[in-house]
Parts: sequence; C-alpha cells; structure tokens
Amino acid sequence: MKSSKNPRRAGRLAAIAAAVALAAGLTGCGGGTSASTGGDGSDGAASLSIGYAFAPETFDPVYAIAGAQASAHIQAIYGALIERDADGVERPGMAESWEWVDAQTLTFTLRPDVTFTDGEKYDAEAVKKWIDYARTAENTPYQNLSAVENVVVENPLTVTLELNRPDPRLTKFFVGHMGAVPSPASIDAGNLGIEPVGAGPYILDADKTVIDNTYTYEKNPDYWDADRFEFDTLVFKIYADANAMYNALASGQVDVGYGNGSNYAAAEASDLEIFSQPQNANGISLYDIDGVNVPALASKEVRQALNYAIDKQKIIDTVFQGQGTPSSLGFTPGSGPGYDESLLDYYDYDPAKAKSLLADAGYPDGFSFEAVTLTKDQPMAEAVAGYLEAVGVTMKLIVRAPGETANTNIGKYDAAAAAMGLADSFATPTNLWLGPASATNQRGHEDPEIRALYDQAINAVGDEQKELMEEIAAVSVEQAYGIQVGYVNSLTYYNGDKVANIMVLPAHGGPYILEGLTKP
Amino acid sequence: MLVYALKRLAYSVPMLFGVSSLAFLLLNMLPSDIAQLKAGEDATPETIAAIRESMGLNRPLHERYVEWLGGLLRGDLGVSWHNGQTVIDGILASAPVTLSIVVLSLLLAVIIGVPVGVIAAVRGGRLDRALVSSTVVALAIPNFWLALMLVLAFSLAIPLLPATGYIPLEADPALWLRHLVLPVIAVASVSISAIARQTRSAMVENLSRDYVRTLRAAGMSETSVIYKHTLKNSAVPVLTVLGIQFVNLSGGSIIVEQVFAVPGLGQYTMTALARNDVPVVLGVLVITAVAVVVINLLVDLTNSAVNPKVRA
Repeated sequence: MKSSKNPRRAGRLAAIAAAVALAAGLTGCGGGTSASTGGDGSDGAASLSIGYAFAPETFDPVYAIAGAQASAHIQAIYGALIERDADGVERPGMAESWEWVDAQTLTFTLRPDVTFTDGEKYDAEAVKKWIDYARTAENTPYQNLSAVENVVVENPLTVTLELNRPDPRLTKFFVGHMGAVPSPASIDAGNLGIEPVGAGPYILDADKTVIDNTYTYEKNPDYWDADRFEFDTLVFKIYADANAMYNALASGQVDVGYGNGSNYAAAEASDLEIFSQPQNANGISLYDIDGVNVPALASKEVRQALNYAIDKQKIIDTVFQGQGTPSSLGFTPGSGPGYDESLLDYYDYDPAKAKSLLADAGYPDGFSFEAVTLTKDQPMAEAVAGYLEAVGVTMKLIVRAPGETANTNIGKYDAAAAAMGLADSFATPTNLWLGPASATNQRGHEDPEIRALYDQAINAVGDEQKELMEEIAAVSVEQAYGIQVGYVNSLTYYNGDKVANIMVLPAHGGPYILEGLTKP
Repeated sequence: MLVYALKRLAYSVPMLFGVSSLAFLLLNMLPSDIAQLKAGEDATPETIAAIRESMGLNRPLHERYVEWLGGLLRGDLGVSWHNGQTVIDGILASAPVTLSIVVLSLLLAVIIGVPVGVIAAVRGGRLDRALVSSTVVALAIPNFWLALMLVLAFSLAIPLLPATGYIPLEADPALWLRHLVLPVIAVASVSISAIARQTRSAMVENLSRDYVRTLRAAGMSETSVIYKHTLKNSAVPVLTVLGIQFVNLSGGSIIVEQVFAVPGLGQYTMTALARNDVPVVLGVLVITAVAVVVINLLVDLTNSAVNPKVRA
C-alpha cells in the first residue's frame, strides 16, 4: 500500500533543497573562481606558483640531479656563484667576479658582508669548505669538480681553484649546482639534504611545504640582490601528470608550468603564453663504431647513409607535434662554442643517396643491427626504424624494462635511442666522441681527430677556441657517429598577466629562477 | 562480542605476516635497480656499485628480511630510499587526503545510494528500471574518464570548482570541501551504484517475505514497514558492500588522485613504485593490509550488532 506519501515527499524536497544550498555555498564561497585557491596572494604580497613534473630528492646540491625540477629549488635556496643573463651570457652572481688566471687556475672574488640565513659568513672559507666537500663527496651522480686539485683561500673575499688539467666546463658547473654554496654549519651538521641553509634569494618555509607536492619559498630580505626579485613568495607545485599540470594552468590555479607536444595545440588556443626552447638532441647513438658486432657501422659511408635515410622534419612533426628543429648536429643551441648553425642541415632526406652509399660501402642489400631504447624514446626510435627499413637497413629495437636507465648495462648494446640534454658544449665531445666508455659513449670509441682538436681547444681562449670547437662539430657531423633527428623543444606555459620574462637554461625544461620572472 | 573480535584479530596475524613477507620477496625481486635510479644517467658503473653497497643492498635477502621484519614489529616502517623521509611520516601526511576522498565518497554512496535503492525496490516498475539502468551506466564509466570530464566541465569550461589540489581540513574547511567536490564525485559514482544496487536487491528480497505481509496486515504504516523493519534487515549485505567499497576506493582513487594532483596515498605509492622505492611500497602495503583486516572486522561486528543471527 502506498500511503503517507506527503511526509516522505516533504522530506525528499527538504533534502534536495539542502543539497542545492550546499552546492551553491561551496561553489560560491572561497573567492569565486579557482584562481584564488591555494593560499597565494595573501595580504597583498606578490606570489608566483610554478609547476614541475617531479620534486627534488635532496636539497644537497652535490647529489641533486641536474634539470630544472631540482635546480629551481637549489637556485632559490643557495643562489649561484655565477649566473646567466637573459641572453645566456655568464654574469656575476654570489661571486662579484671571477677570472681564469691561466687555463688551470680560476679565481673568485666574493661580495663583502654576505651571510647565510643561519648567520654564518659567506666568505672564501665557506666557499672552500663547500668545494672541498663537493669534490670529495662519495657516490655523487656527477664528477663535475674532478679537475679541481686544490682550493686556496687568498683572503676572506678571494678564493682560488688550482686544477690538475684545463677544464673550461667549470664556469658552467658554477652556474649550476656546483655554484650553490651551503652554509658551512649545515655541511658540518650533515643534514643539508633535508634542512638546507643557504644565502640565496629565497628561504624554504617548511611549515608550508608538503614533500613531493608543494614547496613554499619566502623571499630572503638579506639577499645581496633582493630588490631584483619581484615575487615575495614562490610556490613550487608538483604535477606528475601532464594533464593535471595543464588543467591547473588553464584554470588559473598555477602561474607557470611545463607542457608537451600533446597539449600544445590546446595551449596555443588558450590565453596561456608559451615559451619554447630547444632542449634535447634526439637521435640514435651508434656505439659500435669499431664494427665489432656490426661491421657495417665501422664504415663512415654506411653511417652517413643512415642519416640520409631519415626525414627529420617529418619525424619531428609526427612524433613531437612539430615542437622541434631538425638537425644533423649533436651540439645543442645555447650550449656554447661548437654549435654551428650551418651544420644543421648537413644531411637532407635522400633515400636514393642512402641506398647508393650503402651499395658503395658493400651493403647493397642493407644489414641489420640492434638498438636499445627507453619507453619514452620509443616513438622516435620506431619512426627512425621505419625510414631505415625503407632503404634496406633493419634496426631492431629492444625496449628497456621499466626501472632501467640509460646507464643500465653499459657496453651491452651496439646502439641506443637517446634524447640528450647536452647543456655544455665542452662536455659534448667528451660525452659522445672521446673515451673512456660512459653511458653516452658505451664502447668508449675515441675519434683521434676530435681528440687532437679538443686538447687544443681546452687550452685555447676566445675566437681560437670557438674555431677549434666548430671544427670538432664539423668532424662529428661528417663522421656521422649518430643518426641525428634534431632538437626537441621544452615547453613552458605561463599566465602573461601574472609573470613576464621567462628564461630557461640550455637543456632544462623549466624556468631559471635567477633571471627574469618579473611582474608584467 | 569481545571474544569474537579477539579471535578474528588473532586469525589475521598469520595472514598479515604472509602478505608482508610475500610483498617483501616480490618487491625485492623487481628488475629495476634503485642504485641506478639514484645515481642518475651519467654515473659510472663503479658509482652505482658503491651506492648499492652503501645502501646495504648487497647483503643476502634473508638478512635484509629479518632486519625489516624486526623494524616492522617495533613499528618502524623504515625510510624512503629516495628522499629519506620516514615511511610513517609519508603515510601520515598522505593518508588523510585519501581518507577525505574515501569517507566523503562513502557518505555520498549511502546518502544517495540507499534512498535510490529503496525507491527502486518500493516503487518498482519504470522508475526501478530507469534507476537500475543508471547504476549500470555509472558502474561502467571509468572513474578517471569521469574525473577528466568533470574538470573539463566544471573547472575549465565553467570556472566553478578547482581543477587540482587539496587544502587540509584544519587549514580551511570550506576550501577543503570545495577542492574535494570533483574528486569525490568521480570516485563515488561507482560506490553509489554498488550501494544502490545492493540496497535494492536486499530490499526486494525482504519485501517479498512473509513477515512484511504480516506487518502490513497488522496495520503498520508503510514508512515503518520500509524504514524500521525491511531496511534494517537489508542492512547486512549493504554494510558488507560498504566495507568492500572502502577498500576498493582506497586503491581505486589512485588515478583520480593523479588527475587532480592530490597528494594522497595513491600518489605517494605510485611515485614510490615508479622509482623503485621499496620501503615506501612495502610500508603502504602493510598498512593497507592492516586496514583491510580492521575494516572487515568492523563490518562484521556491525553486522552482528544489526543482525544477531550473524554472530557465529
């Protein structure tokens, strides 16, 4: 029997009314649009939020992995001895000046009266302590200070590095993590990985920080150049998922963030500003140059044929949604001397020429070889494999298991798909074309001509050095040590109403904290 | 009741032991190498080997197992291999976020699902069929797709609700709720349907029973028949499903947490898995296993309170 409907109906109506009121209240309160959530912009102070794909694992500069994701924190906390300006030219940072006394002696002059946030002095002793700690630390991911033999404190504001060999890469390392000097007390305390103490433009606010999610930095009022930093608060938010990153940007929840080819079209159609810059050199690195397993790879003509076989522009258009620049050159733009634009189109797309070169080299029916690839590089590798197949060369791809990295089983593979962020042109020859074996040159093949040129280049300066590096570039392209596709861009999307002047360091995927980032 | 509870807890100890041991074995057999991940792509094989040594990974598996088990029994779940944060701290920081989503979802599931199930069972006919079809559709929709659609509609197209993020309850209750509206709707749709369907079928079964006919014949009001008697008797299977849903949602919210960039247990575990952070994954597994045992026990205790026949 259906009786007493009225009380039930009244009850239901009341419930619906309550739900509607609640919904209205929720959407209405808290400031209307979602732009004002997240606690930024309180009490009139200017705040900027930046999204990254992952969080730093440590605040210790010597163990932090290179790349914008960790560097942003390192730069904010510690600043850097040397900085870069908007054109990428090195300029003084925490150090007032520096000088190459000779190819093996580098002297820094520091600024007077600079202190760390714990009161310790930022002087030559502090810098010496840091460099000695950094160059002797165990199991570090990089050995960037391996050339430093001795650190000498000349006077409280002058410190000299004596090298055991010329190393022009050093100043770039001091733009990076090696230039991030922590307080000597924190080095002694041994906890600078989790409780960093620096003298940089910002200080980590641990109370407003959630590990792996949100990192809040408040401006350091005692920073030597505090006036240049227009945002009182920086909030670094972690968005592991690219979709979530884009949604947060599009809805105004975050001011700056990373993008990728798949959401580029949407970003272009939106109000977001886009900053794109070549980041990684993509291609297939050929390791078996001595032809031990694959005799064909020992022939320069064969390697050149492989480069003629691929349509670089097409690969960039399809695999990277057009976000890149075709290039035959391993040196990346912005990395320094050696990047020679005239070499970018050295190999055009010419499958007929590829086939004839193969025939001349004794491989009219082609040959086959194996290349290993990480899953992230697989689409690019498969595109290359497709073009090679068309000229009779079979490149069999071995996909690495999850958890493997580029340096798993160094030396096992004859070739590898690679996306290399070669930020420093002086590191490019040592990484790619000179021994000993490493993750980027897995059989340790050494090109004698490049070796001779490089040994000269590191001892030279100015134009002479530039010419020598460009000669190295020319040799590397002509020898075709890799099947180069080109540079893929890093994409940074940002809200033009909140921030202007985004700058990204070479090979990085996010904004440089120590330059730009001004109010529009 | 107390004896029953204690017996159940006692049975669960060997089960928990088995689960954690199996997990330890499997996770340490994964091919990925934490030392390589920590060393970075440019490191030499020597550096990688040295890192392995310093992390104690070259010790025999059984030795590491005993050490881990000892820590576990002391309540020490270890420390993240990546950022040194204790696993307990990581779980304590991320669990409330996931719990917020799960509890609110279950609340929604009960508030909407039970009445829907009752109405469908009582009214029958076309309304019943319509409601049942809706539940099928809701069950079929993947929660991450729903999440993305909700963001598209209510954050981007119409800027009504936040697209991402989480505000802790103690920081701002209103914002806490506001940030949870979309994630909870995405996650709850399946639970609402499951509860609605379970309520409906339990109610239908009970409404056809003799005692209901007797109560009606005795002149009891329909409201009392339905809400005081039939619903209570239908509660057991519904509560059981609720318990299952709690467990499902805690795991099932992983992708939704990714979509909304919410720092919950799901994201905590996913990040750890991706970078082979075994102590974290193990810790979460153990805590989850314990939680499942406790939840199931609570469901059974509640069931036996509601329906004395359940007490074994």
